[in-house]
Amino acid sequence: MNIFNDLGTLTALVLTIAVFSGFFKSNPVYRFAESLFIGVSAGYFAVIWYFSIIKPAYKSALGGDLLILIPLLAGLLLFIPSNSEAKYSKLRFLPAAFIVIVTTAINIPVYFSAFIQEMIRSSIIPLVSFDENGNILPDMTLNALLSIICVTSAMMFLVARHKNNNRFINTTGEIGRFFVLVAIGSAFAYTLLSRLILFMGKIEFIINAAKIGF
Amino acid sequence: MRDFTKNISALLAKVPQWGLIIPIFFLMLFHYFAVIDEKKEKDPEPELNATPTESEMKAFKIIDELPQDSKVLILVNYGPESKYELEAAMSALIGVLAEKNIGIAFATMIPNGVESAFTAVERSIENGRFGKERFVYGHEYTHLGFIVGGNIATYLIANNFGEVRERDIFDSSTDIHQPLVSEIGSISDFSAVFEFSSQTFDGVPGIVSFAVMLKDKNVRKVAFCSSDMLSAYIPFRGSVYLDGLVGGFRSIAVFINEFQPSLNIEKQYHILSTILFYIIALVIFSNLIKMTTKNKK
Repeated sequence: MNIFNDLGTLTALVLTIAVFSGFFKSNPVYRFAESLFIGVSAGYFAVIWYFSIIKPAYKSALGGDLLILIPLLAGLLLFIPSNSEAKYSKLRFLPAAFIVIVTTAINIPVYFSAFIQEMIRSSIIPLVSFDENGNILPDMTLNALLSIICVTSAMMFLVARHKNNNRFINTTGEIGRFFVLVAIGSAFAYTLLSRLILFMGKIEFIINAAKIGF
Repeated sequence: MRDFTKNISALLAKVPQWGLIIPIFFLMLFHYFAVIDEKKEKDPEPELNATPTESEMKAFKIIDELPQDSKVLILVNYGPESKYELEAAMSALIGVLAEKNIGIAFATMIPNGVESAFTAVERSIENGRFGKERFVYGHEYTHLGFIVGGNIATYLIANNFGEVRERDIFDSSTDIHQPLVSEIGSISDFSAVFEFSSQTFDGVPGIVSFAVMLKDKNVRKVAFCSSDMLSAYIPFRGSVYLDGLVGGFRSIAVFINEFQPSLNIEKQYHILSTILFYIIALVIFSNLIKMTTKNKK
């Protein structure tokens, strides 16, 4: 197989190298690849939204499902100019308010159940872990104890520490601050790792394409 | 000595960003051609040297115990930005499911994820050891398309799957053309639900939202997530919302090594560890230089 027979691979190869040329400095080739990427993304999303939302809604309306006209009307209300002083101009807030209310209503149970209830429970239970023979598993037990200290101290730092002169709360809050920083640092490191893997994937693609093509 | 380090730091300060990235790039190329290929000749099957964690073992067990001829739902919530990490895992899973003759229904909740399922299927079939002669759309697998609405879409999938599965991504009626999903009435008819994810929905992992909203708590849920999503998924790994988690490149490498060794993930794993070594060395070196010059001032 020759990559010159495969126009898609060749285009991807050229564009990948064009984007990598941006490492050196901004240049016309890099800017072309950047603009092309933005344009193609916009086109791709427009097509996806058309086939996922507009076309099915249109078909439903033609099929007699007139309820679909309500979201259409709500969408049109968003186009009322924000500086308009017309009598009914505040109607534009209705769809936005509806979206906020529905999103909040759906997210509150999810947040409460997932983040408050279950996350804390799964962090500390079981407090003492046993193996099949009934012996204590020291690593798992230590992990649970550490989780309790982390969760409690981080909450002290975020909630109770402000404007409080209690020495215990302040000290625990400082420990909590350490754990919060560890969490932020690890999230940053994981993101960096993910981008590195992506970079590595593109390098491998270039090498493979070069191996096949030349 | 201090003058020497000062000179080096002054020199490094003048080096532009590309001056650091290009050497790393060439080191990687050198490593790829010189070390990995040479190692492959000496030892054709390098070992991964990574053991599965408890949550990974749970995920493996669920996959192992999936009954023959059953059906699973795969939520494909990743796009090209995490393709390198998650596509190999998904194609490995597709290979395992195909061997057991398990039907697969794909769905995505992000626009970027529409193509990801098809490319993973393609990659899985291209793998020389795909254990099935025919893998036909509509019979062995189907794609229900982009389900719009974030958490609202999750609610629909969890509790009103009959409506979600009515039409596939090509807008054809699944009842008429697809024996695979025509037998599925609700989410409970699936043996397991898998999520491949590189993003959250309003800060909550998709599979967790799905599990919270799910009325049938017996449905088994396994998540595969990219490295940048690990901090969002890890807190739920011991919870009732997640029966198994394979998260990050290390876990994915372990999974592929366990289920589809023919995909040769060890090579990528070794390259990544080498690059990380170079970067850590670079960071330590530059910080040492900074510290020395700071003390001088």
